[in-house]
Amino acid sequence: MAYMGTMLRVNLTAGTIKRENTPLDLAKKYVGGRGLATRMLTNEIDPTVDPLSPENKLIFATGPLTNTNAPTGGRYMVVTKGPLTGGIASSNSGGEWGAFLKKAGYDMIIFEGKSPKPVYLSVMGDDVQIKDAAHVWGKRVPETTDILIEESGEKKAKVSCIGPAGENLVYFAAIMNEKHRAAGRTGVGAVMGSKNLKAVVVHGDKKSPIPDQDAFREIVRGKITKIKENGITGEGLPKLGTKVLDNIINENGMYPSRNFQDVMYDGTSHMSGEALIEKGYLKRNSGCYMCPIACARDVELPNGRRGEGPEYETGWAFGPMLGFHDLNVICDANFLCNDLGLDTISAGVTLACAMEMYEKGFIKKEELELGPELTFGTSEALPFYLKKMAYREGIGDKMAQGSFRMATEYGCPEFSMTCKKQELPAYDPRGVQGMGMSYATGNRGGDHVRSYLISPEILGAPEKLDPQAIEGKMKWLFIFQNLTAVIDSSGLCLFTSFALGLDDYRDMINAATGFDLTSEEWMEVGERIWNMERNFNLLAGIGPETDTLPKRFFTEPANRGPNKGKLHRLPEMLPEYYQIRGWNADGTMPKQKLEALGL
Amino acid sequence: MTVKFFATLKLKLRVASVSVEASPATTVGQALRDAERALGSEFWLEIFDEAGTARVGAMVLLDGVNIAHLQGVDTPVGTAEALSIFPPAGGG
Repeated sequence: MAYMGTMLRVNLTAGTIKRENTPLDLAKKYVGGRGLATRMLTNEIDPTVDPLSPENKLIFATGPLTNTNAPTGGRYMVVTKGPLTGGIASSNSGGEWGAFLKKAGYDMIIFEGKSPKPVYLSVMGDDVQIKDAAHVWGKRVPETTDILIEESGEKKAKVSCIGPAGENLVYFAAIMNEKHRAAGRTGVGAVMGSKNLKAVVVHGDKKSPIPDQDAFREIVRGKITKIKENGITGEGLPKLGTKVLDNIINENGMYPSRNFQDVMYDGTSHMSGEALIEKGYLKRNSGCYMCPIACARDVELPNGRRGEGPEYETGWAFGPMLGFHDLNVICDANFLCNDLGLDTISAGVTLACAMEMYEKGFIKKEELELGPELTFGTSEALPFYLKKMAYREGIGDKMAQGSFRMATEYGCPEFSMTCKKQELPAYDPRGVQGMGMSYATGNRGGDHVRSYLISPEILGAPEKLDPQAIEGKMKWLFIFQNLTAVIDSSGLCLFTSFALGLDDYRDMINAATGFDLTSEEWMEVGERIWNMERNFNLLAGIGPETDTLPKRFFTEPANRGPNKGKLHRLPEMLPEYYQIRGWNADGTMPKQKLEALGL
Repeated sequence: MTVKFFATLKLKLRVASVSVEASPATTVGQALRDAERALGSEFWLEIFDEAGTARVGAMVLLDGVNIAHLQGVDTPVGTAEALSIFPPAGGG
């Protein structure tokens, strides 16, 4: 089996490290990564626990395909109870860190308790130690990474760490690995900070034990061919990265700007993926562990600053959402967030909310303490308030709680573009009905990668659906949510799904694990994971009333473009979704459903 | 009307758009062929398969509406102002 068979349990309060057997009896039901880690978390913590208390746990987990030569087989997932939504939090990341955790010999690490002082965990194969981190506490991500690699004595060691945002418990702090890769969403970095855990350094050279290496290699070869021959994964993404979407989404009339007050942005062509190339900023593309797609961007700006990014969502959150399109400002802000350890989507959307609140008189000028005007189009505001958020200074302290808590405090929660208190990504629901339902029903809050219905509704993969149609959409949502849970749990990148289908994932996971599950059985695994997450949220107090969208999408019609006049039609779709899920009409989950799924 | 190019097609053609003459009865397919002639460069097969169906991830928008939900390349352009053409692309 492609599992290492061993996991680490680190009690930060007591300073103890235990090696335990990975619960492989659960693997067939929950795969690994997101699924298995969520099972462990929900078994071990009270759903009502304070996310930033020692009673919460933080799990870094790999999947069976992590550290194999399966395409994109390098991902890991961080699972915990999150401070932003108050529910299940999980965020995954690429790069090489996940593969190196398994090379060190471990499938996952469970952190418990809270260290009395800043520490980091060093996992150098069999040598695992909790080490003092006083000298890196307060330092940004790149410097922390360099210092800890130097200390490890192993140049190829990989570092996953938090920056000042995580230390300061910003509710949308990210965990960063290899400086530029982010487990960005849901505030997992704040939980790490609450435990006084600065970093996890990993290195090793072990291979994942695959039952029949030759058969696995042959299967993988076929999947890589499919990815390379697919127009999206073989051409579009490698050439232009995710920012190829800027013009696609804008031309489709669903590229939100100025805090979703407008459904399009006129300056898109100036900051698009194409512009990044035409202006000569893009130096090269690169890929994560075993990735045949290589969509990462290495960018150098005219001011000499160099770094990775921006991705589509980041470019949008730091540009059109704030009413400007200066690529220099956007890229620099992306680099700054990577350094500080901030989720770019939540940071940008929170700032957009603050701008609308300021323009409409809810935030007063004196609260800015002589800082830049919080008006749309003021690019100077972006780096200024990002630092304020990360260090919780001035009004940044309010922003650090996310837009929902900030806007609620001022009496205007309707300006918070969030679902379950997590900020929305870059697709206007009024232009794409299924994706809007994906936001509304997402277990980790407003999010695009837990069921990326943009793929069929806009991109036409695997087949083209009308973005304004609602008939049949909830079945697609059900399938995408379940399949994505399996992909996330396997250790692969979701981008493979532009080219691969359920049977492809079945082939690879079965070959790596020795399981013999059918495609239908794998989909049931995905359904089980989805229901488990939902059940945790319900027990945590996040009820069905949160399966909704910001009021704006029901009351303010799309102002222009092909979707002009459209609203989101959630009330027509939600009952069907509950029905397809086998839940009660009020969105609660019948005991029989949970039992049928073995929960 | 204006025919706009995006993504790898824009980089390859080195042009953002081209104007073509079109009456309301002109079909999308005819307008695209006219654009090819105006540019002196063929791009049809970058967008469509031999049956005229858009390749996965490729799209042609008529004033923002995907022609897959109209009459495909046989859709009359009517009073639309722009055709937007994307070769296979995607992200997230």
